Amino acid sequence: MKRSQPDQPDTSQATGLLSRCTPRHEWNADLASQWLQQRFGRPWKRADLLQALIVIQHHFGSVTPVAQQWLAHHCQTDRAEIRALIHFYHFLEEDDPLPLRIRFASNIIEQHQGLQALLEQLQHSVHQHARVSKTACIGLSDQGPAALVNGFPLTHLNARRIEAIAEKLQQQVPLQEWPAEWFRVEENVRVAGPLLSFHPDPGNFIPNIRARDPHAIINEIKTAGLRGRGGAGFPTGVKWEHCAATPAPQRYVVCNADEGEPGTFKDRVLLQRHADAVFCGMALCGHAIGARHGIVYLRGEYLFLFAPLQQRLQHWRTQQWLGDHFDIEIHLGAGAYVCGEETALLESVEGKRGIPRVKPPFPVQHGLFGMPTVVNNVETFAAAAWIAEQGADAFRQSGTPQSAGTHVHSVSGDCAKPGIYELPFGTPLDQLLTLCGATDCVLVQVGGPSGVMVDSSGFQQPLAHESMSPGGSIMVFDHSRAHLDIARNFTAFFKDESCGFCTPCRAGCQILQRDLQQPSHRIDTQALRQLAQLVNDTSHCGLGQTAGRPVLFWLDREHP
Amino acid sequence: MNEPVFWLDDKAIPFRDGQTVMTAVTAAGHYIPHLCHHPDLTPHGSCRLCIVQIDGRIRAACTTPAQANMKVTFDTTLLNQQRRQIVELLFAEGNHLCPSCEVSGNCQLQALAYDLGMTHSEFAPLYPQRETDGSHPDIFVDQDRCIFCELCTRSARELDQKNIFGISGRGSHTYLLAHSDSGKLGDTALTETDRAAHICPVGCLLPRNGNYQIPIGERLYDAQPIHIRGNHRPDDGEFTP
Repeated sequence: MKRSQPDQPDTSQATGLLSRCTPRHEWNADLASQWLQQRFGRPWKRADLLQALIVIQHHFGSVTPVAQQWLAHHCQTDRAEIRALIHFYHFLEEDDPLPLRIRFASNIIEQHQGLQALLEQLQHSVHQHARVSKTACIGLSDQGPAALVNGFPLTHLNARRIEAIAEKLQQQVPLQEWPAEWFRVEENVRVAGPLLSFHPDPGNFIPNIRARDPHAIINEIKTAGLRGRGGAGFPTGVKWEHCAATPAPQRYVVCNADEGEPGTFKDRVLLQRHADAVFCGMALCGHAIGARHGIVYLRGEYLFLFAPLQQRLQHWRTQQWLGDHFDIEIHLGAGAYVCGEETALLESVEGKRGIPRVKPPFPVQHGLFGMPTVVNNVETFAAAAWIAEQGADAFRQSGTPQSAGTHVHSVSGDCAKPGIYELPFGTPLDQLLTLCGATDCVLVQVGGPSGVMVDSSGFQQPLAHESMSPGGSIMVFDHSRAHLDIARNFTAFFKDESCGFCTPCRAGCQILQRDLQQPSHRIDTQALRQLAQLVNDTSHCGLGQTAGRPVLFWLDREHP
Repeated sequence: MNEPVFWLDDKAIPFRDGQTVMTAVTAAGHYIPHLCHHPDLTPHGSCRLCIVQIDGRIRAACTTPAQANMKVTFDTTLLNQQRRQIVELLFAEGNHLCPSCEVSGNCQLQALAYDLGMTHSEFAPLYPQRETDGSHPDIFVDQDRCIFCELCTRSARELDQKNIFGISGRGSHTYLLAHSDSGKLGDTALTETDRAAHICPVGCLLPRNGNYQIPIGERLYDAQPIHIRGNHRPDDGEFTP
């Protein structure tokens, strides 16, 4: 099979898809209609509003009041509703008079790599040509410092590169004429296991699974012991079974590609190299649960993957691997970590603000548009496809009894070989640290800011659901890093990403972030501990319930 | 057949199918602190004041379905302390200056602060500067007092069948919006007789007429604490001074 190859020259312009080469236009309603028609290929409605806003913003640079009025008229709503969406998603703007927008990734890894100096360097030289700001992790911690220019990633930034970028900006060179190598996104696969060697042939795979009994598929996934790879580790087969058992006129398969946990980039690599495996997994799930609609929710930070994935899907359609029996569409996010929470993601797919729903009911009973829905992570779908092809027994041969199979880790920070490592579940953390060349490792953040901070006393622990759930992110810190700085960065991240729905997370994160900024000797550690615990205990969703963790890990270690 | 019950600490609470912990407990004549819950509206679960502990996990009573024999822990030192801290967070997040506020004495946030034993806020204020909106002839909006309970948005939609209010922004930039092209309340279909105009538990949506007419000492929560009086307003038809 052919892999989707986003490193190839950008061909998306020809297909009219969201591309780096899109020139910015002045607002024009006819052009807007045309591009929206191209994007949807059908009449679009209120539920498509977020996707429409992304298209408008991409072509016109922002969603101006005139554009808002036009959209409001089309959706038979008011401008306030349009603005409510714009003000929720970080990447949407009401007004952006400058032609370029550059957002630097500001995760702790990039901060340690000297992000601030680079940002200031650029800001000073180009403030009249581009707006320069920060954003959360953009999934490129292994090749940072990195930034997004009009949504497309610039990797391996350094002072020389920034100087060259400033020159282009000052000379007003259009984005499509910037050197392609600046935009190269490496895969950095360091250790490939069964999943990263898996290239199913959809021409065989799709007819094979369609001939199989849906119950048998679900049983095989259950027997394999596959658990969700997004971090929570819920048994995938059980999820599919519940969804299939809920009576409904239709069901949905949703692939969560909103890989927002800072320091995670494995799903990006899976979508770069193994898109077919992911689509096969989705089609498998669709057949097993009786769904005809699949949706990939692709985070806005991975806009550069949108065109190659769309082209791949188009190829699938021409081969009739997709069609009336099952089809997949891609929805883009627009900069909102909380949309990685499955019910917030569903709200976002419905074109609303990404506010997590009350659970129960769970998505398997009441999901997208109220229909039973399976939401799984990118890696989970790829692993499910692997199981369908190789069998549950083969899958169980690696991993531990409670955590079967392998897991793909994104490794970044103070190590010689940052990148992607696929290892069996149960591999001790220190083995991974040796592999990635972390010779001076003091602290490791496992599972991103919402995960756990481990010091040398925990390096022997296995990476598995039954010990520390690995999520997808491993961030390595050496002796030169201050734990307090890490806690400050993570807490600021949660404050910026809180959706604002519930009191403890909305107000609590603001106060945690503010109070943590003080000089360390002035921090009231007891009050801070109580507040962090309050946020964790009483918040509405998983974001808030882990937002106090970075503070608590810092306090436990430095102020026990 | 015996009615099913669950346990609120050591009290047996009977319930019907479809009731939440909150509605069953209220029907049984007990009070769980809350701000965003209203018996006539879909449960919301945002203020988090109604936290209870079930199976070791903290849940919101207003969104948790009642189940037979479930053990709900309500009255503990830690939970009471956390409820008080949530009220303190709301005080710190907005500009809640009781002595000069029109709804002092009638305010549910203030009443809960008294009820939960808040003497001061542990958290230094954040001093938001949100926009005020004086465009409506009958209702004034002071956003700095908004607690984002969405009673107004829900009551407009569910009771008045109008789309008047919404929440926008995110995190620390969350704000109350009026559904009109201008974003002004005066350009919406809100009328003085709407339920939504008389449901705000604090002083954010303020009727222009009728303020300061009840003397201090005779206001809603002057005579009785909120856990006895319940969540009410002087203008909701259930109050006689």
